[in-house]
Amino acid sequence: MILALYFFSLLLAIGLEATIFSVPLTLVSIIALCVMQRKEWVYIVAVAAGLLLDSLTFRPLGVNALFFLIAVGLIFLYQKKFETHHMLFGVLFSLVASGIYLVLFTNEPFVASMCSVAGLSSLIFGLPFFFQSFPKKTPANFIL
Amino acid sequence: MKEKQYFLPVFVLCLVFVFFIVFLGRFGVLGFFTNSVQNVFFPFGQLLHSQTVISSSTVESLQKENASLRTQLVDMHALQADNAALRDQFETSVPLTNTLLPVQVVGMGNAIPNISFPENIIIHAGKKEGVQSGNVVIVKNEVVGTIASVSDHYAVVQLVSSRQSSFPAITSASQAIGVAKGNGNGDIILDNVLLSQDLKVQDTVVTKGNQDIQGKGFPPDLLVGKIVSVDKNPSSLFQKARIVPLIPFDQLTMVFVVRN
Repeated sequence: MILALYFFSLLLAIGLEATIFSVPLTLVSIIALCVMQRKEWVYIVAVAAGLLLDSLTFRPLGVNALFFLIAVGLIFLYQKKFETHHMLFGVLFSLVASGIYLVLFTNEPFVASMCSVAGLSSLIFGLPFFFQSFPKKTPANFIL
Repeated sequence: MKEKQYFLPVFVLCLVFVFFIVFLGRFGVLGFFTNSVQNVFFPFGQLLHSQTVISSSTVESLQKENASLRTQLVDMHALQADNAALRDQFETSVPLTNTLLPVQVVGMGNAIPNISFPENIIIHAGKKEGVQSGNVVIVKNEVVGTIASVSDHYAVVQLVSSRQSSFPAITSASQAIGVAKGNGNGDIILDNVLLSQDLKVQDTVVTKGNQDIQGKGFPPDLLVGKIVSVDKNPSSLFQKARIVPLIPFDQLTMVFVVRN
């Protein structure tokens, strides 16, 4: 059920980003999916979402997919070094990744988009944090 | 027991796949995929876009009236110039109605509604409808932009207010010639105007015409906007003016493509 909600949100984010908003909604959704699920299939979802977004934004096919893949790869790379399940990591990573994304793929409006990302990511990562629904690191699944 | 994870192999596989897609995409092999995705998603996008367009009837009617009055003003200035008969003929024939293609707007690029202005719009017509890269897009006799990229059934229109846009323009009253450059956020700058030429606030700016032998480029006498401020410095080589378009690009729902 939750996964279906994630995928619906992702498709909605792609549709909105391609037609109305210049805010990197898809990127934030993928980061959220990655932080919350932490499974290998997130890579495939990131690539698929990137290809869809490329097609809809008339960008060269594969560039968004490559960016999303690298972003997800970085999260998985640093999951042993940082508390990737923490709210602040999600918000900060979303802000940094969105900043780079906006510089690379769009011309403007940088400040308005970054403010939107800050608000959106705080909401996405903050709400589950406060409701304590994030998967917690326990000694059983903690990777040394 | 801890489940074994395969982050690195999956990442490498996906990376290889993406590079393969990028490689194929460069040769246009995956055009069918792009077209299919656009055909599925853009009808929903059109629905979303139409919901965001604010329809304030009073403001809309005043804007229409204002645009209509400015059109009449341009006509009047043109009639006052020499060779009135020839001008009259051009005014009634540019652009030719049989070259116009009415097209629905399905999306906006690089914009947040009511916060920032779009740099481009996406329209529901492409190669299959005879739209080519470089075609001019208008509404009535007001210029909207040019086709920047085109797929089978969709195209991206680069607005005249986008930072990449640049074309020759002329003021209707004083006939001052300059280069209209997009300034982003809905603004246009009329630059490279000689200091000796007269720029006035509220003067209307029209395209000078820069069509090539294949008919690509802006036809002359299309409305660009009105001058809202003039920046004239005696020590500079040129003066410039800020132009505001007469039509709200972010509220367009239908435009016309001028086919060659």
